[in-house]
Amino acid sequence: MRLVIVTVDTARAIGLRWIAERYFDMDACIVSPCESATVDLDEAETPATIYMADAEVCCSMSDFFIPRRSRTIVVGALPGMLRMGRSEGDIVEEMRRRLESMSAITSEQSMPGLSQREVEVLRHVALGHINKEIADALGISINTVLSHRKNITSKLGIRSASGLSVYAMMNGYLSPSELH
Amino acid sequence: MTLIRKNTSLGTVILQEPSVIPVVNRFGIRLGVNNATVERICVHYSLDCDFVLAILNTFVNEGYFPENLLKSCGRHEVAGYLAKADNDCRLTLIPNVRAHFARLMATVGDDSNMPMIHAMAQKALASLDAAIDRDLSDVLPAVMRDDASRESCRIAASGLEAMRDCWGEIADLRGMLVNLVNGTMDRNLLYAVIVAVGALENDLYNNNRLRSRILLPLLGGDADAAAGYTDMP
Repeated sequence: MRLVIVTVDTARAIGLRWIAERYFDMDACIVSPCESATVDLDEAETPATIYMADAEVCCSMSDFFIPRRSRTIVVGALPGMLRMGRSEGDIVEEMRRRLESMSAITSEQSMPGLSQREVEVLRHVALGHINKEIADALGISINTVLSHRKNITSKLGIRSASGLSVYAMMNGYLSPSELH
Repeated sequence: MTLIRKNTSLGTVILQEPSVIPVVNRFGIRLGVNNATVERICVHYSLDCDFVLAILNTFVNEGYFPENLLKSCGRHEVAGYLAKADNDCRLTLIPNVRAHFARLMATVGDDSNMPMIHAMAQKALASLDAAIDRDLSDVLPAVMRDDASRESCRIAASGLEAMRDCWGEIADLRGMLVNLVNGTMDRNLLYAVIVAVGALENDLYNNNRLRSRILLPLLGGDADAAAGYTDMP
């Protein structure tokens, strides 16, 4: 199994690579989240590649990570993310659980994916914008916004703005700093 | 389940559909019904049997909605029931969800996204508390006024809108508890939370049906606009 680590903190990336190789016998590599990162990431990609990335990196490179979210472990301090600053044993145990759940839930079995445009609309809804503001920001008509919202609700089974905000946070579509 | 009739045993109904217990409580009927029929219990408690049957059947049969019968009961009777339902929601169903969540949260591990869902639940319940307060202080008194007017209708429509929003958030909450939750926690307590949230969602849904299909049309409101509500998420 191949693991690609994309974090801002190099020391953290080296530590995660060591754990991946030592405990999980993974073929791990580190990619720096610079401007040319997507080129390096594309080169490292296989259908079975798993990614480990900071929440900030997931947000700044959302075009790359959103389609691969079922294969991405988000590293950060929020609940549901892989939290650092703990003992090696705790981090190893949590990685084991996450890797097991990733192999159990394939992307085909998980919730239907949102298109790039639907993700953009979701982000605006989660930020509390009304349909007119979303239409203006994305340069589309209000009817198109409504159509996207209908598709999002149909795919996720979530209709309220607060529910969509939580979903966006959970899946790395929104960072906490953006929400505040 | 089959339609509840006057000669149906209330005990049998409750055994088959325990979700009607809050509804039964609202009419002042205490458990220990001793296999008596609905009609006999209504006589004992001095209740309008047709109205009780209409409400019970509305709750246990999704497709059944005795619109004409409920309209014939009048807005005072329907609004009176909704006021009891609001109080029951505020004093029983909402605290029940909060209590179960509190017990569950004590078991949640660091690896779980449950704190985010819990935060959403707290916000949704606070909104519901506020909507119920407004329903009891402004909306239902306006509906019950003898000189109910277009203004009463406008207040009822805005109250319904707020209640719909609350129901949408509670319905989303239950969906997220089933579909999105992850990490370590006591699964039995999670089940208890889902059941409690489901009871609240079901109650709000059915009470909103009464608001949109009965109360608003009785006030001369737009029944067609209200009818769109019937789609579950």
